[in-house]
Amino acid sequence: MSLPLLLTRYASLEPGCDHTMSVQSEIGQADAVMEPSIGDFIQLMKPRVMTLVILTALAAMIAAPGSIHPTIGVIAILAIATGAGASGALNMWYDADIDARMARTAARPLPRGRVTADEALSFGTVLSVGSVVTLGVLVNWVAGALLALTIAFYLFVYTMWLKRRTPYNIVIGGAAGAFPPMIGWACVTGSVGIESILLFLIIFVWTPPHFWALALYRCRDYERVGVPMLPVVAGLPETRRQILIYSVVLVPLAVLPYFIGLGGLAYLAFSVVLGAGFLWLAVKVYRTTEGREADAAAKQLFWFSILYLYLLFAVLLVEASVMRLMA
Amino acid sequence: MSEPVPQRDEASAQRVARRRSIAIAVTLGVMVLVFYAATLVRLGGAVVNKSF
Repeated sequence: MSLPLLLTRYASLEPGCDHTMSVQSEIGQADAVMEPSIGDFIQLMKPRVMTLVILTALAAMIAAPGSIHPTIGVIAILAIATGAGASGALNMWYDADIDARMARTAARPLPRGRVTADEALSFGTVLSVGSVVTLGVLVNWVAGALLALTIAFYLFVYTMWLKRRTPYNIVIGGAAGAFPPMIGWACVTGSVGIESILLFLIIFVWTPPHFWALALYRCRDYERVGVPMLPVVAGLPETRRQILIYSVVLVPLAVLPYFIGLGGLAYLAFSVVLGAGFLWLAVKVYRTTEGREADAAAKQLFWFSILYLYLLFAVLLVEASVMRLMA
Repeated sequence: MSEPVPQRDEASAQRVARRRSIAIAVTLGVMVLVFYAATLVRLGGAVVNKSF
């Protein structure tokens, strides 16, 4: 069965944790290794995650007090993006066995036999070292050290240690995705300020409801491969409750940048309106517990959560840029 | 017994190795340019004022 057909069939299955199809049995493990394209290596770097990393780091860089030469700024963003991509490649290298058995990840380069495990490991390692050294030497070593910490945390703490062991993998492991604003801030200031810690906390608290919303309608996938996501271990009602709790904490937290002078009135307006939308969808997920409507509610929250974070940091970026231009 | 690791045939492996070599060369070239540009930016006009 071709992969697109398989994915189409998967999408049409019954909602929630009720279906039991084995993706691995229908795709099978790649028995021959094909020649990789540039696109395969780009896919290894998780480009969609990279865009969020670039946006959050750039927003923090522009919002930070002080200045950075544009050339150094571009180099810094490239190094941060490369480091994020490297950690994505190393994650795919380590998780190739479970990726092959999950519908969402079965089309990645390793499960499809486009890239070998050795190639992914070498690629990720070289890019990790290169990005950290470049950021450290050409920008500053506080930023370089934070980037190294981010990559190490994502690979060793989240991927290797927590992901397959605890339902709170996402809660603690989410720190890896929250570091980029701190790195961006450190590129300009050479230090870690309270403002960058607040930006870190926003992404840190945003991560659990974001991933648990996904896990609500993909829980059979996670259960099959033995990843103890919260819906698998604690059940769907508890997951919905936890999503609501984290959302209630997240929304006021995301408004705080205005009150410490990091964001302006536009940020305040966006964070309040978007936060209301986030809470409304979280309540909807909490209340809708049966059938396809429950899956639809979880999907809505998952996609809105991405939009939420993109818009928050985009507004922060635009507002800070305008203030710099007017200063 | 562990499963056999899938391999590429020899001609395919050679093509992949050649492309990898080109990618490494291009990457090194880009790194040289990046470090050169950053050095000029960091040192600025002072780069020509160094006394020997």
